Amino acid sequence: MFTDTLSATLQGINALMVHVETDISNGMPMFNIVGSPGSEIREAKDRVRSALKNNGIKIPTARITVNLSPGDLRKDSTSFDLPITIGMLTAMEYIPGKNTEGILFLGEIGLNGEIRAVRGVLPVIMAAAKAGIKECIVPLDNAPEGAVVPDMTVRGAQDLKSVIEYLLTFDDSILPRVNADPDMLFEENSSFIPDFGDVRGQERAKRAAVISAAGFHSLLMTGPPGTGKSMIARRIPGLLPPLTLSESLELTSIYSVAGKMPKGRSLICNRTFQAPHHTITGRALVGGGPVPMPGIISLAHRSVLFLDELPEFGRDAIESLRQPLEEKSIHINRIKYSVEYPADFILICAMNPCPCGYYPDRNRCRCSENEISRYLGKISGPILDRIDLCTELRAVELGEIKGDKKGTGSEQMREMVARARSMQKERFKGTKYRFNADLKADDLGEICRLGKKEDELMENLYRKLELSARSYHRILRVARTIADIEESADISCAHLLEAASYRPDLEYFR
Amino acid sequence: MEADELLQINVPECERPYAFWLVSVPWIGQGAVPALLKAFGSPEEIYKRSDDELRYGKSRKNGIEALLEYRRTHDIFSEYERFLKSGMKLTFVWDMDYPGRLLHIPDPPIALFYYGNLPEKDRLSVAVIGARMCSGYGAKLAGELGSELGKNGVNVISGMAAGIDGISQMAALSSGGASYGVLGSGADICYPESNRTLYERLKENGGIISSYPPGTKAIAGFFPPRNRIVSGLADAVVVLEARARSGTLITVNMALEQGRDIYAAPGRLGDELSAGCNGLIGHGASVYLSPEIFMRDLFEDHADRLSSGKPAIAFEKNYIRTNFDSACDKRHRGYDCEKEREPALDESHLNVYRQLSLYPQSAEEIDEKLRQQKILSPGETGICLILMELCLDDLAIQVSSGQFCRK
Repeated sequence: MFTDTLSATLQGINALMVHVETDISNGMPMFNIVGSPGSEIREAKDRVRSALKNNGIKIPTARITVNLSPGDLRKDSTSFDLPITIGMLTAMEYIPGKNTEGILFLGEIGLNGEIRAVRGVLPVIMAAAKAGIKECIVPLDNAPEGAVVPDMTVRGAQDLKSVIEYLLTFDDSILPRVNADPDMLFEENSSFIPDFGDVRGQERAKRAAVISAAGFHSLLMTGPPGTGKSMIARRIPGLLPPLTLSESLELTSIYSVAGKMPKGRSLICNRTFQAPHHTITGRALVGGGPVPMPGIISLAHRSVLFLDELPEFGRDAIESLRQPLEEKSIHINRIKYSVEYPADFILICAMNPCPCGYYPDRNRCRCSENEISRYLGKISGPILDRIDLCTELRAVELGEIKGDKKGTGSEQMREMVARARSMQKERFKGTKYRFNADLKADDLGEICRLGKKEDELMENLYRKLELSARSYHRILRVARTIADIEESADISCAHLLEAASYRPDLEYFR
Repeated sequence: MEADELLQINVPECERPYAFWLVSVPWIGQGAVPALLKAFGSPEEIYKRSDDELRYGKSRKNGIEALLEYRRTHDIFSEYERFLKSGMKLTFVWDMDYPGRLLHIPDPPIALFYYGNLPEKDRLSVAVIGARMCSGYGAKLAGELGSELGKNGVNVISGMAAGIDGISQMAALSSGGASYGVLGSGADICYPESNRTLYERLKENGGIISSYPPGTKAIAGFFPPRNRIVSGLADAVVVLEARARSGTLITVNMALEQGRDIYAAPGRLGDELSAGCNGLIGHGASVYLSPEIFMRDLFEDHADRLSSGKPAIAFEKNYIRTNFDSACDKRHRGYDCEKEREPALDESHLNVYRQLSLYPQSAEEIDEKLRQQKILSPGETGICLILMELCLDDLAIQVSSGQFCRK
């Protein structure tokens, strides 16, 4: 007998519906899975057979064929275990075929029939909702993330026995529906992000952090060890406005596909902070692998990617950031697949100014010119070109650390960011832009129009500071954000001067 | 063998290839060649001796072996021909054009290989030396002194190293003066490579001098002997920045042996890069206060040479009258003249400008200073804006993204 069960496979951070067709007919006893299955799926037949046997169900000695349609799409996931089992049970007429109609199945099965968590449940359920499906049965551990999708009945299953029982009786108490209200989740889950008030001194670096968060500008912090570079970076996610529901669903999808969802959580409701170690490979950073997986930069989507000790990162890893920084997403093409993951993040970098960390304080730094230039030379020019702001931290004196005087707090800084964000939202309504940092050179003249006095100042800056065309544009973009923070429609001389003081192309980097 | 004795040797033109052979290996000890000359009389005589005869005696073995090896493997006449065609020049201690100043130092180099010229006998020469990894403060002093010396026709002698050496030499050239670089490698090798521009310009206006034969690679052991040539070629030695233990101080020791005047630029106590200089002052070196004062002292000390009939530089006495009286007296009158030198700025800019010094500072530090002096501070961001404006007016320099100093 032939049956058709619904499931889905991942494609990037989206999912495609897959029909699991099962046929049991007379002939030489065998069990075949066709339809471009990956090795995980080919192994499924052993898991399915044992799980059924251990639940007291005997597999008929017949020719069993399972087809995953569409057949030309490669599928690698253990999540087909459950739909294949259900397909066989219906084909065996153990469960009436009509009972499984319109229900999507997803899950890995253990040899004892236990149903285990899989990756990418949220994108699958979102795709199912789009395809008009009303009910999904997924592993219990994954149920919360699926439950946020509106108009969808999501049931979490722990073992095969309960799924079968439910499909025979439709008794709600066997597989209770899992509910989640996104609004409630947002309130519950706003987890703790440390406050900028803990950072004493370093007001200039904090100011740079505000500008960075306000205009989505990438930021490079230099300074001796222990001056608070990482401390500042960790607090930047707290300056960004809260995620909207659609941003949150997008980010949750990425986490779900990467298998990084925290247990029991249904949504990623906060801006994330990704700080990979400098030994990370290019592939781990941008994603890829034999089975496509999002990399760290996609996990930092709409959030902060922090690269501490920038010169220590491998050249491959850093160079691979170039495309995502431009396009806000990453395309990964391999022989077996081609996927696109979103990657729209603020790049925050930190580094020591020289191998020992104390340059330009010649009293403490004994690195030779050669050592310093070799150290700085490790940072590739193209990446430095994509950094809008550069700020230097200095060693904080003991008095400041011990003093009770708190620095500017996150609350105050968040307000500045919010002001600049609403200015940008207003300005970019109906354009392709979202933030000042995205502004292309062609549109800068229009959007960052300067008065006569400001134009003269810019000319003066261009000559005196020996700017390149690129850094000229960079100053304009940053100045626009500074003006936005002050809710000023026009860019003033003060804005330009401040922007110029953060320019990263000092002689120091040449 | 003293220089006087060496001078007695009469080496006819036809013996030059033999003499060239004697100085063609870099690691032959300074004493070895004079000892050979003393023993055998002339370069040709030495060349004609057998290996065993030359090996005999106290001469340093490695050097002699290298010399013998060179004799075995090379045809010294064609090597000398080739050298003559290369454009590099060579002077021996017994030659007329050998720098007179070097004749009076212990251990004068037997030969000097050079491009360009040798320092003129009748012009004052000053060695400006200091740390390779210098601070902005040292770099600024080196630039000032170099250009003042260059403007007034005083030769600047130095080692063409990174840092103080190169900066002062470049400044002298840029202000129209001449400068001489003494290398610890062959004169045809530019070391360090980063000073390539300076190297080329020194060939044009001044010279590149080395006691090592062409093709010699720079190794650490070659630098102390070259330092004695740096100080030997100079009438006075100025140390602008040096650590407590540094190569610069080796030069100073040699200069003392040679009887040269030592000047040292004072620095802040606790600054490692000034520790050597401050130590020198403690030991009685003259204090370097400003280019003007230094020039006055220099001309006064060497007044006899300037007036003793040798062609002197005419403007030197005038210099003392005009430049010194006006410029450096002012420096000494103190605060009043500082104010006079201040640019026309408004109150807030002036307040920030006054806090700037040659040592780089951050906006935060300036903010703190203003608060301590009970002056209304425009806040860190405000100070930054003012600093940027000062940069645009050429009154300040942004040395790194957060630090500024006075220009």
